Amino acid sequence: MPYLILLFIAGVILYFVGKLVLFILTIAFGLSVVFAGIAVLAGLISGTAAPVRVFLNKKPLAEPPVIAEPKYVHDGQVIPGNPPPPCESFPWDKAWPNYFPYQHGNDVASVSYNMRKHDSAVLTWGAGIVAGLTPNQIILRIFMFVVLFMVITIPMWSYVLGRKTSYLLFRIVSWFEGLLLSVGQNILTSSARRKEEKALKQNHAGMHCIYCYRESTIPSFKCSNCSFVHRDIRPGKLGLRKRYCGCGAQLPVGVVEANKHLVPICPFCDKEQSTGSGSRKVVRVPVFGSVSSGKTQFLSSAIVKVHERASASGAKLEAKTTNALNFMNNAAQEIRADLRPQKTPKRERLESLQYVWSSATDVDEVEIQLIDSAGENFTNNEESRTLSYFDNANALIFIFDPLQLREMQDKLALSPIDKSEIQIAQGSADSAYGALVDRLRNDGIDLQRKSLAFVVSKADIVNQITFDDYILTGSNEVRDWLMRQGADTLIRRIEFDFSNVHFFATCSYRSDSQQPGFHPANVVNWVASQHAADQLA
Amino acid sequence: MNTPQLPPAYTAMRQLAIFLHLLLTVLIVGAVVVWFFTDNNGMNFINSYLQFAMQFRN
Repeated sequence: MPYLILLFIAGVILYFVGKLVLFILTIAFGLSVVFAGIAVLAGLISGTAAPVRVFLNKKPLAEPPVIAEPKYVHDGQVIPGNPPPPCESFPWDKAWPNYFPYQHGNDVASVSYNMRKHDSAVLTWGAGIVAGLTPNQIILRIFMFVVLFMVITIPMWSYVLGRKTSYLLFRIVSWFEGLLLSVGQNILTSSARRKEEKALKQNHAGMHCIYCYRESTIPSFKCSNCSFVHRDIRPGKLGLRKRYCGCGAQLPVGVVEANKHLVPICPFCDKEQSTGSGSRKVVRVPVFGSVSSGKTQFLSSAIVKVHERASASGAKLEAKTTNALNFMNNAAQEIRADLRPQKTPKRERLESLQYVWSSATDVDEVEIQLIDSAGENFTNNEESRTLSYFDNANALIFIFDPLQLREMQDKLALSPIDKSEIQIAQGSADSAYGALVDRLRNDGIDLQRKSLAFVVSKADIVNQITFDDYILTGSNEVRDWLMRQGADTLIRRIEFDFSNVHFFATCSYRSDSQQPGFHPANVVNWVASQHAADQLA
Repeated sequence: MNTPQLPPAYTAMRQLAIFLHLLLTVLIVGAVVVWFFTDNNGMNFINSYLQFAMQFRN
């Protein structure tokens, strides 16, 4: 009986203890739900603040974002692959990349890392509290663990859940933002590039190096602040509307815009070109012919006349280099003083003489490059190989000295005119022509796509010493005259080599006394027309 | 080590990301709050919980 009473009392105690335990667990569960709700909210707020802390670089950060600095871009650590053609052989320029996707990727990685680090620390801290408050007695340990799990661990997890939710929202926002900006960037880049390429193509613009003679549609540009050479200034991954150089200087983007403000550099020889090179039409005037055939005289006289006619019409002709200015001034002085220009020295490469012709309204700009070369360079194929400007010139100018013709030499000998000042070309015209043209053909250059101006120089002397067969000005008339004078073999050869040949006769001595039809400026105009340029003189 | 001067576009893009993130968070939390106070959803939820808890007291 007493056992039954004890059993009853134990049962009653157990019932009330059980009820108390259930009550405590119910309260703990209730608190857990409330705490969890508050913790989720706190986690959301904390998660929202996490990117702000990273973006503003608020200390202490476990891992601040890696900055996509220009030096890393230049080292190839930021943008995968090579720059787009034709700049693929150069490294990426030292400039700040677009935010998307480069710096953005680093920022997201840093936010992710810092959040994971913080979440892990919070969970470890919560587990530590639970472990510290749990007693050693086994039943109490289980009970306290369950209570603390509900009151502390679940809210901690809820806090982390709130942060993870916030991070997920951040990634969704970043993904959409990145998608929109990437699409926008690609559209802007391709449209800006297409627009510029079209404008340059329509204008037949390009940079023709005056030192190495190579052509480039995308010149390099020197930073106005640090002199770093940017190889590809087109809109792209290093800026859509403007570019920030590694030194911090803000640079214009696009060949046309950059040409207005920066110094262009030849991408092949790295030499500085005059401002504006690369965004205007270039008319190259490359002459060849035997020694003393009149090449330099032709160019001197032509540039002086172009300058005179430009001034008269309100247009402007500006020498872009010191050599070009000196050449033009010397030519003008020599013409005024009735002197002949000095013979061109034989050098491997002569700098092109660069001039810019601007219309009266400054709307049209044409670059004229006169390229002289000593006649000794046209004695054999190898000598002419260094003159690579002929390889990509639209039009070539062959200067032919008519006094080389036997009949003319006889007439000159019989003529009473003063012969002391008259120079006759040395070497055969056929050899000079063949030295260049054979070399071009051997190098696989399609001559049928080029034009040739066949210029008979010294027409004034010819018309002084002849009394029956004067040389006239039209192309057909000059050709017929040459045929009559025994140059038919050379003419047939030329017409076989080139599909577009125009014959000129020039008297390149004393510009002001020349007949308009005999002026070298007419040849320059014809060459300009072969480059789709307007009449320059 | 000196922090390099970032281009202005970087700051603008980061601000945009923060703004959009905040906006989306506010919208979602706001939607929950609106749900809570619409058609007694919140009070119904609390009552359900209280009924669940009270059955242990009895």
